[in-house]
Amino acid sequence: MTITMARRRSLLVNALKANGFALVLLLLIAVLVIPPVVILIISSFASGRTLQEGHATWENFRGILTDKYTYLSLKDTAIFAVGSSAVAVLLATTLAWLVERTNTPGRKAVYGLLIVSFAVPTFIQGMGWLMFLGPGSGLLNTMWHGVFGGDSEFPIYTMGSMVFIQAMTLLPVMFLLIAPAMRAADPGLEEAAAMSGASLAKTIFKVTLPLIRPALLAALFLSFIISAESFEVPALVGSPAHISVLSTEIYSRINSGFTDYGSASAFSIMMMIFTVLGLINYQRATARSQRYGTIRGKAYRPTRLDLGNWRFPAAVFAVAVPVLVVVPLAMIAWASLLKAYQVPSLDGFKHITTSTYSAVLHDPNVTDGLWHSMVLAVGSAVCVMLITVIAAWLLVRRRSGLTRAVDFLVTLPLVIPAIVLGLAVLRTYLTVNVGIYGTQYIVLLALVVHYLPYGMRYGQAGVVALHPELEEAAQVAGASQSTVLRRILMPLMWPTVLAGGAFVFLATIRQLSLVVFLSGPGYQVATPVMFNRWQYGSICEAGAFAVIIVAMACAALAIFSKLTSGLAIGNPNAQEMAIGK
Amino acid sequence: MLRIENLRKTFSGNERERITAVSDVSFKVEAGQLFTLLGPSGCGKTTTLRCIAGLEHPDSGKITIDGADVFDDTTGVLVPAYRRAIGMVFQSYAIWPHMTVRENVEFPLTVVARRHRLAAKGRTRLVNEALELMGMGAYAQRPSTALSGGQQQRLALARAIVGKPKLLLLDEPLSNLDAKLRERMRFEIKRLQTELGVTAIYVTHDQGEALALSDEIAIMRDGVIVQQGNPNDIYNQPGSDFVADFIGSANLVFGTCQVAGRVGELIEVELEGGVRASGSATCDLAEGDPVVLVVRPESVKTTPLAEGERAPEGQLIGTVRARIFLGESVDLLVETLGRELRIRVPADSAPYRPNSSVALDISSRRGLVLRDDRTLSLSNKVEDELGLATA
Repeated sequence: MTITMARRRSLLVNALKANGFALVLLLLIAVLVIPPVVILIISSFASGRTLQEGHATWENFRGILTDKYTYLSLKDTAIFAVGSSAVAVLLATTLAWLVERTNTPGRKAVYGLLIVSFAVPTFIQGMGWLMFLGPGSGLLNTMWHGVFGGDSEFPIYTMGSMVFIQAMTLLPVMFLLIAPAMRAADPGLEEAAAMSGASLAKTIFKVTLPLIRPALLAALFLSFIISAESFEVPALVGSPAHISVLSTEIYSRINSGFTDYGSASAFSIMMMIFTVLGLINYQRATARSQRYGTIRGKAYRPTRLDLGNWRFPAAVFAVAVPVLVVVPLAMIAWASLLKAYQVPSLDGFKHITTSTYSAVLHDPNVTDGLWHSMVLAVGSAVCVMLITVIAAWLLVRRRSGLTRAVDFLVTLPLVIPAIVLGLAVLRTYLTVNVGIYGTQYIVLLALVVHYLPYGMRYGQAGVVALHPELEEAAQVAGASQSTVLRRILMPLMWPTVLAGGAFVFLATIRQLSLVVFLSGPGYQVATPVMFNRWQYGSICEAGAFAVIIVAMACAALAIFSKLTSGLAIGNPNAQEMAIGK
Repeated sequence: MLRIENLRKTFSGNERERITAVSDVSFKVEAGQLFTLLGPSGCGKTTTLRCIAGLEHPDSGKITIDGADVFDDTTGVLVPAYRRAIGMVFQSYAIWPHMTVRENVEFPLTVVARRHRLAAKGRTRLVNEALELMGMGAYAQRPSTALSGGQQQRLALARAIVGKPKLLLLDEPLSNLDAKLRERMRFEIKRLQTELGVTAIYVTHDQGEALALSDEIAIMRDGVIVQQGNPNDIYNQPGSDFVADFIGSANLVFGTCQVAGRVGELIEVELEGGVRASGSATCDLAEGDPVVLVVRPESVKTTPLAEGERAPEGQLIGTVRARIFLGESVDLLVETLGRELRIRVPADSAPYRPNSSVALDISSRRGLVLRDDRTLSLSNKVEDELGLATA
């Protein structure tokens, strides 16, 4: 009898252990995610500089809703986001089709160039484009004057070039999203269309594109969200042109002489509505694309369309576009080798020097910033993957109300634009003093919250790809839960963890808008330091700094792809291959 | 050896209603037997097996393995899966891709409780034995991802038996193999089971597999066992139209009982079209009872009719709708009484052309007469599945 009592008690303990674990995780994530959201909402309804002395008011919302500039920046945000995502997806689709479905040469070059530029922070790409296209000292304008004379200039500070530059920075991500869908679409379906007498154009528009339509829609909405909340290009190009979008509007309300948290928070709420709209559509689109995804499954060797003599112009286009993405990098590298910026020319080569690099590397602000960025990148990658892999496993294998709550909280940060989250975290830990304001921990916290949803996507894909019978077979074979974790789950999840970690690491190094409010005299982070240099006109120093960051990112990328034998990044089949089926 | 009493297992479905997977299942398996749980998908057979393995926790009931209770809701006993010391082969094989063939097989030996654990040498011996037994000795050092389907299957078996379990559970182990390999592995499994003398529980939806392998078969439907017996009884004495339908590609013809009779007696039946036939009763029947006559494809005597010719007295007339060549025999789909009957004739018999008329004698050999409890509306689904499987 005592034995069964003991057994019953151990049953209870086991149940508590299983749920208790989820409960602890839920609490941890809640503590990370909920305060910034709550404080942001309170802040948008509060007057005064600090929340303690303020009182409830509608003034912030009334202020921005009666301001005609608000509507102007709403309109500009919409034009900017729609325009750049349309251009990026159009280019990426054409490129993906040429590279994946036709025999256009240069496939490896396209992938190589785009993956490299994926590692380059958006802000650095924007800087490069300005050096390339900018007025007065821009390369293109100088060449134009050299050839045609006169002083007419390529108008860089316009909405048109904002859209174009943003589209170019979006291109690598969009390509890496669309290309796998192009590859996965069964060529048998196209062949069937051809056999039924459809012309090439008919086949493309009636079969190929509809087949990958869900993937295209998903890419479109994702790029819309990214553009709507992006800060880098609007700050670089839009600000001098007096075009303001929501993100730069928030930035200037905090970083101008008079800090207005109230209206910045109200703006943030508006911006979140924008992202939520984009996100709802995005999730609908991806849900659909998963349904389409299940159509494939047979192993086949994709047959590529023979373009005949059109191959060569196609190849020129296919390689030219990614080269364009890399051009800005060359401009920055050029700037970094000079002491005072001048347009690239043969004469300029005489002035080439490494003194800018040594100056930059002797500046404690820069070296601290670099070191801190590294530490933060590793820290956020580790924290995010640790939390999300456990959460993903619980969600997939132990579905309950509790784990669904975990899922909701982990996904919530997706609707908070980076710049808004940065503001919210800053405001929260200014108000609630737990001693992390002005330290590395506040930056780390913001990064972890921001990247939780991304880590979750990796984690979930990883767990779903693992057949539950792999774990059950170990249990039946006599392995306890902890042994299953150690000997089966961890080794099999490792590629996923590495891939997700690599993503978070790289994204952290690129990150500017999230950390722009949080980095400061107490704790410098690389990207904001570089942003300041550029703003104060130290173009060459900013360039040298940028080259160092890009080099670090590329090195990290190389190490990660070595560790995962080239599977992890830019290869959507990584999981399938890791499972061996 | 294994004893299941009043097992019940429900799952939480959508809108807060619970789905009953196993509603009340009891059976006993003697040591050394191969016991099969047979049924269509969703009948609860896999859930029952997973409850035995400890991978699902039943709501109520009692499971005893080799004299020891592993689950009993009245006393609160629940032995976790990893303490039950059983071997199991999964439908997906569940071969761990990050281990070699040898490491996969050795795994169960390395995770048993420390005091039962063998030294490396003893483990190697057992692993070699298991691999040799399955003809996988040459592949020991291979990465487990570099195996064909059949080899994965053998590896899964080797891993399941390496620890010399008293109970072996097999969850649709052959469903992922192609037809030819399936045939061969069927014999391999039977050989392995008898050679080791291990008690095995086998779950399948394939009646051919069940009939070929089992010492005892339990046919499940909607969470309960509808009939249990040895393959011969199950095949020849189906207790219901569902079983008759499921176990062979039998034709079911509806009618009414003409004269009351007891189990085993020859009963006269009037069929839908007014034709009379007889068959042996599988239960006591009264005059006027609705019945089902089970006619196996091979027990219909068929004669071709010239155009306009009438069927002899007491025989059905039908039209050949399709002719399927199977090698040693030919299956005909014959339309009669408003439905299609499947009839098997020798390959060398007269050529039956499509749309020609045939006379069918269904009373010449004994059919079975079952009570018609109109479960057929439900079992139509099964019939479709079988139609696909046999066609």
